[in-house]
Amino acid sequence: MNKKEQEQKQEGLLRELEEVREKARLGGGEARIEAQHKKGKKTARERILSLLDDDSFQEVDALMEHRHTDFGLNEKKFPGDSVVVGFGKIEGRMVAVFSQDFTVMGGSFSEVQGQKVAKILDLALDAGVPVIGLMDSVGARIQEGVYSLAAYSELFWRNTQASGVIPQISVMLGPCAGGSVYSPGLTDFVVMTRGTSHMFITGPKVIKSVTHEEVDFESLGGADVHSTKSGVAHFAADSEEDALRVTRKLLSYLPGNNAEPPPYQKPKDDPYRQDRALNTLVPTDPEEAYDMSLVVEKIVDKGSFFQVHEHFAPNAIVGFARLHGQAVGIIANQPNALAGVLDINSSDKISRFIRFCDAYNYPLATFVDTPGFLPGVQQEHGGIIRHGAKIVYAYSEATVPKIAVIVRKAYGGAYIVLSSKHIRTDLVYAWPTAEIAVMGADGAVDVLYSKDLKAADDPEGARQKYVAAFQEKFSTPYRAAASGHVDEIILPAETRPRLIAGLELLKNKQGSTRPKKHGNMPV
Amino acid sequence: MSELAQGLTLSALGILITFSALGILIGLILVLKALFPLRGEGDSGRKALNASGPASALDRDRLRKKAAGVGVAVLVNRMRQSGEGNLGELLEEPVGDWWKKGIDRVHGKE
Repeated sequence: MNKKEQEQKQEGLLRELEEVREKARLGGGEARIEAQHKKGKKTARERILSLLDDDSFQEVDALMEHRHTDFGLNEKKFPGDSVVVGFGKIEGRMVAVFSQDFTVMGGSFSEVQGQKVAKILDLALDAGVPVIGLMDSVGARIQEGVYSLAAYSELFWRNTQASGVIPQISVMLGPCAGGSVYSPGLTDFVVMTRGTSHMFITGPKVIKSVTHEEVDFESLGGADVHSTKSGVAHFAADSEEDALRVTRKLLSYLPGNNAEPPPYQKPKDDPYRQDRALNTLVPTDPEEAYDMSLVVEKIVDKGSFFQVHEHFAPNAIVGFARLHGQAVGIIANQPNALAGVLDINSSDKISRFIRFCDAYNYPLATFVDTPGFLPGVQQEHGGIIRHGAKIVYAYSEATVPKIAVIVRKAYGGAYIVLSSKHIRTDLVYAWPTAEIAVMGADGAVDVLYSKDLKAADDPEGARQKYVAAFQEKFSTPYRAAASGHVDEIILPAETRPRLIAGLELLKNKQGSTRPKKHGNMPV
Repeated sequence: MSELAQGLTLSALGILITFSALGILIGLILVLKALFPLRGEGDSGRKALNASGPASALDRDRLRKKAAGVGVAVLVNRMRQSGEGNLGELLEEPVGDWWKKGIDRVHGKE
């Protein structure tokens, strides 16, 4: 072969690759892409390009095809099949990504999709980088039968193996029904899009035939339902762009893996800043509500507080923030909702977040103001004991730096579980407004002086006297400070520099746990 | 009118407008101050200030807290000015060997 013939052959080979690539880029074809756009949805590739930094996406397995022939599948072959996988960068940090392609057979989960996703997950695990799944699929590919189910199982197994090793984020941009919901359910964070994404085990039709309940897709498994009622979704976004923006922001707080500290960001805020408004923000009347998120915002680096599960169990607050650039996990009660009581949902919300923070080395900052656990038959029968125990377990198990600030009420079991010294909280601070007692003054007087009150000539007067005496003794943090159960009483405005100094002390803290296969958390 | 006279007239007019605006502004401030007196300047504030008798325990506690707050603020400012304040500096450094050793132990590498 002479030089010219060789050049022509090489040119032909390059052209052939371009053509194959172009075909793969079109997914299910132009008509399907147009249909996807008409629904207000982007294609799998467009989503990846929107999510990642410009020109950073590196695709792998773009040419994999299925090998099945049943039900006419041999005539429906698309290079890359129903998922686009690869890796790229977000804000300069490497991530692995897979994006289900709805234009190829509805993004159905095929054997090949399973193999591609498994490969990128394995790569991410070896490389120690987070994985982001952009989900838009009708579910299992029925024509492939058990091959599709086996592929799902491989994914679920890998999700579990990767849990606590690399952060996993699921971004729901379309339907996700049946068994396929367990993959996002196993990941660390779920972002849902209002109107276009739905998640449920059984759809409205099956529900109607089995239980005769009538429900539409949005009310059954829409973003609002899962971000407020079920707690399946951590974030609800208004559009695809918004969902991808939230994902990028979330990732800015996440480390690549469990062996590295959370990403540090050069601070712009003054570490000594003392917001004097904090000194008067918390009402001294224990019955009066206020917004704890304002307290948190005034303490952490300006603009850094990023709430997780914001609309689920609003009586508790969890989220990421920065203190002098150091990412921390924030846990707080929210007196503005249900007086900040701990109930089943808030226990789940808090314990799951603590476990994430402990797995990925985030110091914990807890702000306590709660009257205790929510009383009621529904809560007791719903298993508040089991759910509340999760908080104790999660805090006790966590070996990361733990700092608690008792802002106001810390009553009973809630005092113990929310980061008391006894479950190895490293530093416990209390504001002058703190009240640390087994229960509130009114309840305590009813229990301690029931006989005296019945016998008194003026029961109401006697009651007030006993309440005042109890409050004098326990409605201050000084008794707890005198016994060392609180490390220091601080001015509210001092909290920021105190926390930063505490983080400095505990920066290299070594946690120790007994050797074990794993604990048995009351799930 | 000569160029000089025109210049002088315009200058005088400008000065007149500036001082008139200033006068209006001062008047407005005085009116607002009279309408919305500062806390402590109003009747209730005056009454409180004129009230005789020893300060209550609560007042003393408040004064003590205030004094402590001012003390901390002065100290912090002094540290900042003298360049002694290095709060948060350690957070800017990478994690140390002690931390890495702990992580290795958790991962069973030790």
